[in-house]
Amino acid sequence: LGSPYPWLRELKSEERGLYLIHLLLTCGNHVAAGSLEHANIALEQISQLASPDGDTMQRIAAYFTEALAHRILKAWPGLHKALNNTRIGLVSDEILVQKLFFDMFPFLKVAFVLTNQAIIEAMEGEKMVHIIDLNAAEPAQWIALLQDLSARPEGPPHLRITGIHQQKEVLDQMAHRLTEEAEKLDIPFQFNSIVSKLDHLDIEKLRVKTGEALAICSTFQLHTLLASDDELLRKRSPLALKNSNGMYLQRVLQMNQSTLGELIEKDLGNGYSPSTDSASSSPVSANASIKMDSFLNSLWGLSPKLMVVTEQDSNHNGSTLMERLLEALYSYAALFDCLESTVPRTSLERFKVEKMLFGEEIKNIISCEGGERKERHEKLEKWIQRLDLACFENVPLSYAGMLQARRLLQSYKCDGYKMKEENRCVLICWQDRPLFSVSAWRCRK
Amino acid sequence: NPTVPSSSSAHMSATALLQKAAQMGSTRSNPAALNTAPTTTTTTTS
Repeated sequence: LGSPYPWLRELKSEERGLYLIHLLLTCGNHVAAGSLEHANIALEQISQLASPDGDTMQRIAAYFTEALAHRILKAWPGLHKALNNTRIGLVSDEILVQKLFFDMFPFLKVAFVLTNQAIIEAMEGEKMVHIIDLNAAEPAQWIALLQDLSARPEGPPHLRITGIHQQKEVLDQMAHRLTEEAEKLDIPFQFNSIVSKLDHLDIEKLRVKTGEALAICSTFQLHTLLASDDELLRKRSPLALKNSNGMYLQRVLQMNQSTLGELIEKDLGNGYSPSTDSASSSPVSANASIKMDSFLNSLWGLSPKLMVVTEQDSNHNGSTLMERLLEALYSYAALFDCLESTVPRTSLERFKVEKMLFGEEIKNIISCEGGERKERHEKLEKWIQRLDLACFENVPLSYAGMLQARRLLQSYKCDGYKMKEENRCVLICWQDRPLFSVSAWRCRK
Repeated sequence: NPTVPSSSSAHMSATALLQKAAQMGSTRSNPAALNTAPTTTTTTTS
């Protein structure tokens, strides 16, 4: 159809996939260098091959190119704003897509099983239990907990759940469902709604009382706090990055070192200066985040008996675009592969999850910087360091919890889902790739 | 490795493709593979 690259359409799936990877990395380098003309050529080539309803790599490429295009367009704020001016984030869409993620993958369910079991064990014998849910979006987890608590040999406790979410509707729905279930089970229950973003949360509003046993549950929330003070750290020199970044790239593509050096020079010179919060060589200062530290400190100050943290187990918070591009390619490849093996290509639900959830995350990781870049997923080892520094100590997840979680995974009858124990925490994997981590903590006195 | 099908004719997962691309990049054993197509297409029509 008048394509300038007719040969591209004749590639077989494997060749096409490999070529797409090559083009994406090439394009990434041009975008990092601020070279619109070259990026445009690469994007045009990719657009001949990528497709949101094609094979896995075609789908991934469609979302990564959209993200790269967004990033380069941000150099023209007027254009970028004009093109995104009428985009509306519908609450209903957000709720829908979270629900689809919950339904289509076992990941959240496994995290909930592990979390609830840890809560049940920590709260044994407690008569007043307070749970703070930092992302109160899914009532299924707490309905299951209510049922478990009602079956306790010592009888159910007085239960209070404080849910935090930006959307009032989500919390109202949650309150309704949980109150209904608690009445059915005859458990004394109270639900407190706090409509707030996590980084604006007023700790006083949590109204933690003396005499109640507190558990905190954070699902996919802590990493968003890494964004808040990123701006403060941007001024540090990122020169140390040059070499490590060069090696990184060479592993994936044959790169001419001097060309790469030039690209990074341009990268630094063209206003695409990377945020440098994780650029330092010291792992501890690399983790430094004022907002995060003060948030964890205030949680510690509430003396929770237990805190369970579920996070995306990926390294998407690298300081350079290319580092994040590569890491994100690997993790979203696993997530898209997972859908490819479990859901038909024509599924509308699959398309929605890929576009509205993963596509948006990819866009955030690739095209945003500073406070806008919220999807700062980090690996378990970083969370362990960070929580350790904040005076939390690890609570090993119990055998009983892991057994339940394994059974749940096995019930999916799909070989690809795996669970790994690491540092007394759990990694939930697709094939060999860890995708989510679950870890439990208590205050170190 | 379960993610890499033994037959090249089988549909490869994106993970396997990335692994293959990484191998080709690091070992340089097959320098042509990522460059089978011309990369210097600077003339475009629009």
